[in-house]
Amino acid sequence: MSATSPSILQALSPSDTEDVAQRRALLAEIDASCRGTLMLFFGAALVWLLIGTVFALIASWKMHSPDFLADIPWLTFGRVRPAHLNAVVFGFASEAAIAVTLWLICRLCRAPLMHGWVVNIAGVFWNIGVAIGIGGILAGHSTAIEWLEIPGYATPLLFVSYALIAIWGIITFRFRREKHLYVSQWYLLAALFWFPWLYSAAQILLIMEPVRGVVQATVNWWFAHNVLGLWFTPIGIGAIYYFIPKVLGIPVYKYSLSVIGFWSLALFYNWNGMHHLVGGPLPAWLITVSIVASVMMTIPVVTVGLNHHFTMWGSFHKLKDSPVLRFMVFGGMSYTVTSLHGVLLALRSVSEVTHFTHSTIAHAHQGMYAFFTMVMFGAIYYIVPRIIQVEWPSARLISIHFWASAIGIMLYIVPLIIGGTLQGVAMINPDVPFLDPNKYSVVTMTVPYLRVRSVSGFIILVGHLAFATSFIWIVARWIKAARQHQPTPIVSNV
Amino acid sequence: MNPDPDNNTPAAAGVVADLAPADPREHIEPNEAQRPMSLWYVTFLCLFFGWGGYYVQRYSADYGALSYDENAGFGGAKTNIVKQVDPYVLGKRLFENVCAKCHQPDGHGVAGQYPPLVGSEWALASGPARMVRIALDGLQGPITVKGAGYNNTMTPHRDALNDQQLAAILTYVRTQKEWGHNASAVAPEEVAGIRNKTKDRAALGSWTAAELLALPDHEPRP
Repeated sequence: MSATSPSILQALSPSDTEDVAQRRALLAEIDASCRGTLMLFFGAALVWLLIGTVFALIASWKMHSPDFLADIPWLTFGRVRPAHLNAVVFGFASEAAIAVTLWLICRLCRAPLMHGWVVNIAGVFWNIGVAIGIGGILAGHSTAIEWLEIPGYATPLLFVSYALIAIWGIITFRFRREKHLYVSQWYLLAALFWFPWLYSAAQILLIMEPVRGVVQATVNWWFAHNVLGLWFTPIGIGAIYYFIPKVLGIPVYKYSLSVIGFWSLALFYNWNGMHHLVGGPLPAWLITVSIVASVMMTIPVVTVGLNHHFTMWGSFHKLKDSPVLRFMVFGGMSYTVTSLHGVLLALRSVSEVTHFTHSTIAHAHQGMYAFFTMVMFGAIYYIVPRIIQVEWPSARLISIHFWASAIGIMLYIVPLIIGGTLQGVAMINPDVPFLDPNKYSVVTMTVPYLRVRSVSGFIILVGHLAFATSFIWIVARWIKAARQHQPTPIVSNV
Repeated sequence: MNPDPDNNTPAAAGVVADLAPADPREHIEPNEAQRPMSLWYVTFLCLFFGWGGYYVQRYSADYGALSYDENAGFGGAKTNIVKQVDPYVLGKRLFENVCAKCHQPDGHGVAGQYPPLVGSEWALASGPARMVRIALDGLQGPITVKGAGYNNTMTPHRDALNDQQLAAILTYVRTQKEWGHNASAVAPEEVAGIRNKTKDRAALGSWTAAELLALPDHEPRP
């Protein structure tokens, strides 16, 4: 190739230098290697998201209209609510998390996903496991342990599928071509190790060989809290760490903050959970240590928040044009707010009021939806057009999705935190009766807030339907394009 | 580098950059900037670590498995571990759960069915020897209380209640102020002694009034 004639790469992207063009070619190869696997996971995640949303609406409606579907055993509150939780946590959130993690690991390691069919098989079995699990819950076989309701006959399937996926992620990491470990990779890799530890410990101690007494509650809260903090949170933060600087084209603000943010999360999060048992018959030190760990979570939260915020500093006007950035920044800000609110809720004096009220539920949704799910939406909007080489068909649908989700979840969280706190104040006041339709009672005072929650649920559903429409549309275009064109030439060998 | 750095603004419909090696609008992979840590930030870290250390020490009592009171303070929790339970309070609660179903919450029983405890010569005997036996292994057959005859069965509580609980119930019944009772309290040790002495009784069935009347009020010292 002579120096004067442009290479094929330069012909394709004339604005780039040879070096950048080669990197792009590698990225394209990586994207192509992830294509089938990621589309499988994203598609399945979307289906579970819709199913989970419908379950959520049914459960929410029952909270203020208990007669609704009350005569169908399969759809009683005690079954629909865990079905919702497991559909969105193990169906939607975990599958989106796995797909985003695999893609980020491949890209940041500069290594294509090898033998993606193994992960595909694991993905199929994961979905079968979740489907059997949720069917089991609806049939009444729930284990009745929060966050672990999936009956024992489905969990081994989930665990084996997960192990296969995690091992594949780690193998990809082993064959990395990039020496420098970018901050996102620390979080993602740690999450791949943390989740099986949490899940297997909880399965063994609560379902296979159940521990007794207060230890059971301790293990349950440890798992339920840590699955948020050591599985979803690191993947969410890792994704934000990648996408904000990626979209802006600038480096992350401070390497030192990244390091402290990661290690303080690793150090403190695992001690969380027992602060939910304030007032319970637990040794005082166990609750105290958990409270301190919760308060110390301020360090990673503020650190990561500062790092993201100063990376964004001066670029906030770009939120106007970039849907990905919008989802990411919304998620990142929610992470800061929800975590600092969580610090507050962990204090003994606050917990005595807010625990066992709806404000805990609002807090959980702030973490799982306003933070994690929004980040996953942003990541999906970024990744899908790259792996299938098709643009999103409608900017308006993406906009509808963002605003419906953002407004819907705020309408969910804010009133329910206020209502839940008032409910807590009423519950510790001996003069307020528990249920009395004729005066101010604990049950009747929450009803207006619960109605608002149902309304917010419908708004969120609109967002999800817009997302589903976009997704089906882009897949249809992809299939059409694949029929019309020859397969994309492999550019990596050029 | 790029005029339009945002990679996700949907392009004009139908524009599919099929042959492009990755999206040409996309920035190359991100990295981190090296900047020194600010003094404010280090101060913030130190403050939190300092507070955390103080709080753990202040509100963990003595880190004991049985220390439930976070305000006990270090070392002080040792006096808090075994809370002295007032036998009268414990007895009242257990009485309402266990005994009141037949003997009634007011202790008057049900005429012709369940004998009264209020003013009963059985309950107010100078020693608890008979009462402990009845509570442990039950009673069957005819019995006369306050001049009235009864013929019913009382269930045994040997396995259901421990020494402390039985002693508390009997103490409550014997010292109930509202019933005008002022007999002696029953110690858990007394219950334990009789429980041990009569450990074969369960196999023989519940006590009868005649058997009990043959025994002294006070348990003879061994």
